[in-house]
Amino acid sequence: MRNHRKKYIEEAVMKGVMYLCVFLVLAFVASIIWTIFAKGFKSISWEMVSQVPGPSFNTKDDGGFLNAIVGSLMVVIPSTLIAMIISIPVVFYITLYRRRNDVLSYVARLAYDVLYGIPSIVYGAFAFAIMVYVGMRASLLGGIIVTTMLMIPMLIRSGDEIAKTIPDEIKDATYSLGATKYETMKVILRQAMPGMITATLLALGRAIGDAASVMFTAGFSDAIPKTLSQPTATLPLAIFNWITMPSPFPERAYAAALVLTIIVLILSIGGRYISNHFSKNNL
Amino acid sequence: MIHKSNLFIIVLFPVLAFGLAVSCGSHQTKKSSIHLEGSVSVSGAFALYPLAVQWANDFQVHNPGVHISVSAGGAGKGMTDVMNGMVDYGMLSRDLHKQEKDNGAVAFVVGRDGVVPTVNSKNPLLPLIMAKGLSEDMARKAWTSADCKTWGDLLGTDDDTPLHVYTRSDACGAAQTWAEFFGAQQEDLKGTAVYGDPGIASAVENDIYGLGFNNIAYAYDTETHLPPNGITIFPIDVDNSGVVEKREMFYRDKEAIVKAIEEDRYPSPPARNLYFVSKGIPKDSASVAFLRYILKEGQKFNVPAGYVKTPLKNVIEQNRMIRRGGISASVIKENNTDLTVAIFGGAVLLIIILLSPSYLLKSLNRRRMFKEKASSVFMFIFTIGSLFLVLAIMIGLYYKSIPLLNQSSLWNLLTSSDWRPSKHQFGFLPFIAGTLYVTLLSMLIAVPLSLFTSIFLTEYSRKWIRKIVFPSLDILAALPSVIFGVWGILILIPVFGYSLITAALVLCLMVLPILVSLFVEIFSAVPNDLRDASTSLGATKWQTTKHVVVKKSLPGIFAAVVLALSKAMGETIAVMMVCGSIPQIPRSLFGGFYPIPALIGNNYGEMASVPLYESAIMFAALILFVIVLIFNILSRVILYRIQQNNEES
Amino acid sequence: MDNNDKVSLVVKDLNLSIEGRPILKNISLTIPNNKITCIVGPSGCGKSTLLKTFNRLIDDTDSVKYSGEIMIAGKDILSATGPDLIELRRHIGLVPQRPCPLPMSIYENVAYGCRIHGLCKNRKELNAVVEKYLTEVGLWEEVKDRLHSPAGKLSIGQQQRLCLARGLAVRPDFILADEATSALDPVSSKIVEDLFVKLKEKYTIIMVTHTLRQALRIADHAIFIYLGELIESGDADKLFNDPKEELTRKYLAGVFS
Repeated sequence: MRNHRKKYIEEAVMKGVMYLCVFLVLAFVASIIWTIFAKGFKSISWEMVSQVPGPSFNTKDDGGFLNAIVGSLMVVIPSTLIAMIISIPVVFYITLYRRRNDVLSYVARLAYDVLYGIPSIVYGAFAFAIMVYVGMRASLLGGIIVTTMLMIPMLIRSGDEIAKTIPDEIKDATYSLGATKYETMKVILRQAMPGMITATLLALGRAIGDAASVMFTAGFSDAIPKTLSQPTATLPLAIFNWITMPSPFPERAYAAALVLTIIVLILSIGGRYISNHFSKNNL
Repeated sequence: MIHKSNLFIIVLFPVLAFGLAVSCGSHQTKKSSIHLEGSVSVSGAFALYPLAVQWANDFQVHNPGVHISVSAGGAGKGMTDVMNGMVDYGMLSRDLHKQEKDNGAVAFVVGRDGVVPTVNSKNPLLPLIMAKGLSEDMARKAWTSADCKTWGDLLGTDDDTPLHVYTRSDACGAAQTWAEFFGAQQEDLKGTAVYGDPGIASAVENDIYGLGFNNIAYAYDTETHLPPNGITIFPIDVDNSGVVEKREMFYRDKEAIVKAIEEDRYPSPPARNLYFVSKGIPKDSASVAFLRYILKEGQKFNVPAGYVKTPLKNVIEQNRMIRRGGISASVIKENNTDLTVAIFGGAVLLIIILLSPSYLLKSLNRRRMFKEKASSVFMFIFTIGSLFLVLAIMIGLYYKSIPLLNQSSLWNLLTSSDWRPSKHQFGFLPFIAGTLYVTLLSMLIAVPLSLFTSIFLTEYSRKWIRKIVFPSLDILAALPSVIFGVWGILILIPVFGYSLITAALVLCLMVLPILVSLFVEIFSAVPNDLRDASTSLGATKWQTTKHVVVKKSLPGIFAAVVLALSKAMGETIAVMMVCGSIPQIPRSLFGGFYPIPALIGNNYGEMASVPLYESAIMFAALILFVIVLIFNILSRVILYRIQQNNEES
Repeated sequence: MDNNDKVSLVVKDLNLSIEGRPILKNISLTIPNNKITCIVGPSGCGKSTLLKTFNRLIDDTDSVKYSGEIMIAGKDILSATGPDLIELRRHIGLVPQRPCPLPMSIYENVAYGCRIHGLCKNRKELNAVVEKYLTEVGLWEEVKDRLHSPAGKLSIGQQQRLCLARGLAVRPDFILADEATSALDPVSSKIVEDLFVKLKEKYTIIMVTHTLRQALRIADHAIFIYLGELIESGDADKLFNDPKEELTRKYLAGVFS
């Protein structure tokens, strides 16, 4: 009789623990969102988002951080494009052109897995060493190079996952019609597009928020860069700097944090919406 | 027929060409006639930053053809940047090291300021503090010895009010200068290390037992020129008399302390020269003009901003130096970034040319085969490129670490705890220990939390709960590292301080989404038949879960944990913001510590000053790389084994 | 291409192994033109493999090795490469077991083959081709008003017919069908079978069928494969009613399958 009771008590206790854990997790998430949004909305103003720092940005409330917002976009968008141009072919290569399990595919997958796991600060340090060696300055181009390196493994990993979901019959069907591998790739691309777009937007979100990689390579500037060789401010770095070097206006950091969070959330949610919207032609 | 894909390429080409043109565009410093043209970049000490920005703005107003960019990242960063050719001037708030001078650094005095010790205005012993003052010996004791644990120890009384000493985590002039006040080096300073001048100021502001130091630029409010509300300047007992005399009290406002520095009444160090450092005498017209401006017209900004003007003798001597450097009327600045951009563009053009047969070949089938072959080749190159990148990173980091490895054995580096860069001692043990401790601690919290959550989500919960939890986790997964850092600073630091536990909590939240999503996937893969079998034998849901679902998933759980572990180890920014940066093996949950990523992030700036420092930082990156690599492979091997098992059963 | 041309398919000494295990052993046969040839035999004996070898789709399988010749219109497809291979593939259409419309509209599905091979010079020609082949498979009336809607929205029987139309649009000589009706309901099955019967006037049809009944219904010529070996081949009526080989007799009597 005692054993009988025991197992029901255990069940109830465990259930309680689980509820607690879920509650904790949700509470933490809520806390983060609440802190960022509350502090952010209190601190943000239209000027902050629409103006670049004015000449007395550091002593007065002169201007905003548009330079950081635009700078981040100028780093991330070209990087995304280049990363896509490199990753999509690689994914197709290892899944379509080569048979799935041949040596090159396996080794390549391993290599990309490793690259995916490398912390962004190591990328930053490595890129910095290269830039010094080549004689390049901290600039927009430097930021783009690092961010591209960062994004490629992400895109390849997601691409690989998506490729796994494509039914083999499509391949068989196009081959039977006498298509080349290249043409088959184009057909499969259509099927994979929604997934790839989501993956790209998610990768974009991660890249735009990454401070460690641009820390050494993109520099920081109060202006919007006009050429690739000028340094540029980026949002995450701006937040980091301002929290640790706020000058009289800590609000800037909170406002910038809010802006960054909103951008990232839009990208994540938007990504999923787009993928649903574009699935209509698919199987 | 014009295919959509062809259209794409036709559009791409002019876009690329345009982009190239724009990028190479405006970076020319041609013959300057009346108007000065060019660009100057400056980076470095927080101390000089506000002043440098004013100089830059004013200069640009009078010389609209010149673009000046100023960024702050600490004196160390400034030195590294200028020695590496990344900027024209480094802002330095300490004296040049011999090593730097040997490497060609030239320092120009552009102003003076000082570092003052600070305490919290609500310190219970404030009257005694203000009366006794801080002597050189006391300061040395507080910041470098382990004997000073209470305010009593410091002030020479029996009081046992705790003493919380703060210092700077980033390589900076303020800490170096302050250390030099009592004959030490920055790395000798003990105490909770905080990033940045404002960081340490706010640390003292929030801690009534706090003792710190700040640049006068940050110790005095920019508008009111008085110390901010929570901070009181700890007067220095200059003559060591044990009492602060009236003539030693010049801290009332910024003007007073500035005057004291100017008149040499404030000891130097911690009063110090502020420098613009360049590699060799500056040669191009824009940089030279800017420097000249600073030494002359720019000086008018010094005092209002709270700095001392450059002593006249320095001005004269430096102007002479510049003239000797021999500048011609117009010098085009070499900038390899443009070269890189040009090479980049050229490569793109080359690719387009290589692809042209896809239009030029006559027969359709030949074109199709060409496209197939060409795409095959390109893809192969890109794929192989990945391997090269991995190898390149590994080799590159190793290569940079060689000088260090030549000097001390690998064993010594990994197991010694002495981190004294200026004495060429690089013991990485505190950092390795720090990384391991914080990662393990965060996993200790995260794994049970996520296990129970995922069990709940897969076995117990109803649909609506899942509809809330999964999106929340998605949000958590999408948030950037900085945001977690901000949250940590706002919510956790006031409660736990800069400590192991704070960092562990932040890390825990960051890995939670991965763990939960992987666990859910693993648990969902357990076939329902097994659950049914257990339940029909009379087991409760929990018993089924424990004995069947979890047991079957153990390898997968393990692999997921290893994966999350490797992510936690590499996490940089969030941890940097909350860890306290103390290079010692962490002793308590509530003490500061220093993981490897934070080491790299904080100190890459100091790389140029001490010969082996750069090697050390690269070596740290290499260690991190290797650890993460091992964990990744481990995880993969485990997953592979699971797959094998699944296929067999 | 021209349907009066005697384009034939001849297999000579085909041997195929996968991961070292022999799947097809010494197969030699000739496929008669303009007839429906059914390949029958128990499951797992290499029927689908044989079919996939005809258009070299087998290449995608890991560790596959083969030797011998398969002559199509005088060219050996097993040793063809590059442009020859894709040209030869055009001559052989495949209707798979599970209908697999490409992720495009109905129109685009049928037009796909023409596009890649450059068979049509302009839009008008393409329209004509699409209409012609959709009519040939009996789909035109059903879909003519929604040519540009996604092909995935069709019923499964319609999808299978679409795949057939797609294959026909590149004007092959042969149609391979790998258990083409096994995923369909009886009504759609019948429609597709009737289609094959109609199509044999213009094309040579090779089918793998798992159900003997189907073969009995529509086969003109039959090939019996058992454990990778060609046991018997010949006129369908003769084979089913009066087989020469003992094994065939046993199979037909239902011992094996």
